[in-house]
Amino acid sequence: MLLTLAWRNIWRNRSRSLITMTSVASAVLLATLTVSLQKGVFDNLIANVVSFYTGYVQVHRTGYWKEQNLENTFPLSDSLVTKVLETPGVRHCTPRIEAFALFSSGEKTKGCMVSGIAPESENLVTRLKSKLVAGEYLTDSSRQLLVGEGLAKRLGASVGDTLVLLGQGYFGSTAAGKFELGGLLHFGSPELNDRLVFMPLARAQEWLDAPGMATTLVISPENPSKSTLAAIGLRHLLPQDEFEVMRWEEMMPDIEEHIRTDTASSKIVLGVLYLLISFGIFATLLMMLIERRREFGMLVALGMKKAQLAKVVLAESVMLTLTGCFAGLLFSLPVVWWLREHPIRIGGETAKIYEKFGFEAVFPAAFETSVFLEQAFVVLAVGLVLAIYPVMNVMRLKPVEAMRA
Amino acid sequence: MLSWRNLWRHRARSLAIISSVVLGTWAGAFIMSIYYGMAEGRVKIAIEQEVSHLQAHHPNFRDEFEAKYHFTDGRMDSLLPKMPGLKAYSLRSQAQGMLANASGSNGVQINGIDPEREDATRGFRSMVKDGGYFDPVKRNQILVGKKLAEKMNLSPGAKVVLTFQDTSQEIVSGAFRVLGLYESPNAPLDERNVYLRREDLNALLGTPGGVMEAAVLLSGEEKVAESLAWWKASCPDLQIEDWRSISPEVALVMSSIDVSSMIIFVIILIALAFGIVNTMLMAVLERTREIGMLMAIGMNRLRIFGMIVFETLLLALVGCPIGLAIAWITVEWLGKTGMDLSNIAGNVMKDFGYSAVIYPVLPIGKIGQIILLTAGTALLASVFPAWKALRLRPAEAIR
Repeated sequence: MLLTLAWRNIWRNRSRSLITMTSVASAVLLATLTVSLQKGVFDNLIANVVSFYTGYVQVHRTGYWKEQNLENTFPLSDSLVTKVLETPGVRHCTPRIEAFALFSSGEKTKGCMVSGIAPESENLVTRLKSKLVAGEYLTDSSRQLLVGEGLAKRLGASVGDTLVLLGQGYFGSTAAGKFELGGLLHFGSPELNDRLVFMPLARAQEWLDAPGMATTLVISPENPSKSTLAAIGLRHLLPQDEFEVMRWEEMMPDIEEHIRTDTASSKIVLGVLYLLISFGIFATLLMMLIERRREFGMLVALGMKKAQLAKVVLAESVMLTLTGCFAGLLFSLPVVWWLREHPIRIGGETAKIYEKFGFEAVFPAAFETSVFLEQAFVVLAVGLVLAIYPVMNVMRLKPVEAMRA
Repeated sequence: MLSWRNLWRHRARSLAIISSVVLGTWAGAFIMSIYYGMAEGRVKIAIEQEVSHLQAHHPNFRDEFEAKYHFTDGRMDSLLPKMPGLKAYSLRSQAQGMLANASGSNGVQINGIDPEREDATRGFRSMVKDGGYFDPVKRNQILVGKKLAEKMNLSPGAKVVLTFQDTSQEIVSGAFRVLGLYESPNAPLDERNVYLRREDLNALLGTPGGVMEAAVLLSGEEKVAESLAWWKASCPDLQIEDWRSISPEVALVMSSIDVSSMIIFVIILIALAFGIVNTMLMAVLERTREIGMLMAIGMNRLRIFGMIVFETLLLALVGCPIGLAIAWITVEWLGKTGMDLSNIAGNVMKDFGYSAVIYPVLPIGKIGQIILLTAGTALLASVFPAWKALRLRPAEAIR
């Protein structure tokens, strides 16, 4: 009976109900938009940084990350690679053998990081080929090196020059070798651009006197959100005393901390936004009460119990909030999707600074089901709490005064 | 005139709209001040603990890092004390090389410093967390970043070997004893930088009295332009830069903060607009009869449109300054006490060069912008309800 009354009240003044619903729906939309955009900025940052070199997940021999030297290598076998590739969530993987070395051209010597790679699969994981700016990409059997542009510039070396690499090989042996510079790579991050040297895996193993060994397996997940799944699967698959599986958060804690910092401040921002939208909803409720004072007064004067009236008003608010949340949810889906497909693009000074670091100043929104549901629930909760106000208002109603209004 | 009376006639409604404008202005200003506070905190750390205000290098040094591109300390010592606005300066000799011990080797930047001056310029002494600071008598001591020490299993007292090229391109090595482990606000830099005495490094490099980098801390940001010009004029052969061009990462952080604050500000304006549209729309519907009556007695549509838009504008003009005033009080208060984010973010956030406590600041220049944007939004938001009012039919409306 009371529900029917509430239902009829909603339909009786359609435009008023529609406005209240809109205010709830817009609250859901705005909250979803904020969170999706913020998440999008971070996801984009991660994808950028991870694709430079590190990858989302890496496998090493246990202890390698703490002590990065050749004593902590593992024998690379086809069966290991096959097992890794069969793990759910894993799309590609590529082996590397990495070592620090001194790099000389003529009279100049610089420190560098040598990375022995499998050219084809490396390209699948980090798209190394796309970073080539001069010369030719590696093949499995080539004898050339690919060198970061910045490093080559500092050495005064160009494609075709012969260079000397001097490092520490397996079991402390001296690793020395002459190589031809086969191509230049451009990395956005100056740190990589000035330090990295690539050569084919077999050549690096020979140079370091570590045949068949690797320091790292870099894993690319089917999509970024599956990287956790892949890491868990790999941890399960590989014996813990032999292999460590690390996610980008553990390998690049600085980036993760940057994101956490921003998340902290965005929580404050979100709090302020919630305040603003709850006030928006509250204002419509307030207007509704003002408008209907006479009506309520009349009903109570006619003998309707205040508790009954309060129940009707509560039922109305709950119904409106529920439909509003649902409508907001439905409406925010296409909006967020559109902002993912047509990302916000920032120009001017910001774009230049981002370019320096090899990022594009483009910010697609993140499209995640959990975000939509979470924000709809938050707004629902806000709406339900606010629905208490009209109830209190009705309970305090003085019919005579109300009718005079 | 009519608008003004209408506002007083419906006080509760006017109050609701004023409050949402107040809240909107406050939210916009407050959030902007948080972002600016964050950016300013980052810059402050970068200047006071990392790069200082100004740096001088030989024009080729930052590209090639070769020891022959140096200048002498005697020249700087006679020149720099005369610099306008000088607070402290530090002279460093630098080389790129490898740090090795039994467990492996790592590429590092080797910095030769004058311990007292380095401390005066960027508070280096207090960054040493484990072990001690340089002893005036002992030689060949080295300070290593905590991150690098963890990676290479180093602790105070451990022996390490540094290998690099001297000024005649010969490879030289020296054995050093780890004096202590330091932790700067910028963790990624700690992994790559090691510090020793300038005399020790210069002896190995073969550059007695050599300086590859001179860093100057000024008494304030406002002195940068003047001192930069002065230094450039005194040393035309050197490359002199301010912190903006030395540390592009800081600029990156600042611009990413700019982007987020812009996005958020737009969303807040939309939220404000929604609030105003909804309330005004309700007001128009409620006043159907009244507006119909006005039309019936001959008030033309344009004037009704104007009346509603003007009502909203009046409300916005009242709400805006109140909102700003509250924001100003909030920012003043939080700017003194600081907002401690470590509860939300954990202590780790300082590792990236942020401080865990944010001191919000509201740049004066932005206030005008906020007023304009809020008032503009209110005006835009009033158009739809006003247009809705126009479409009422007087005859039906009165009924």
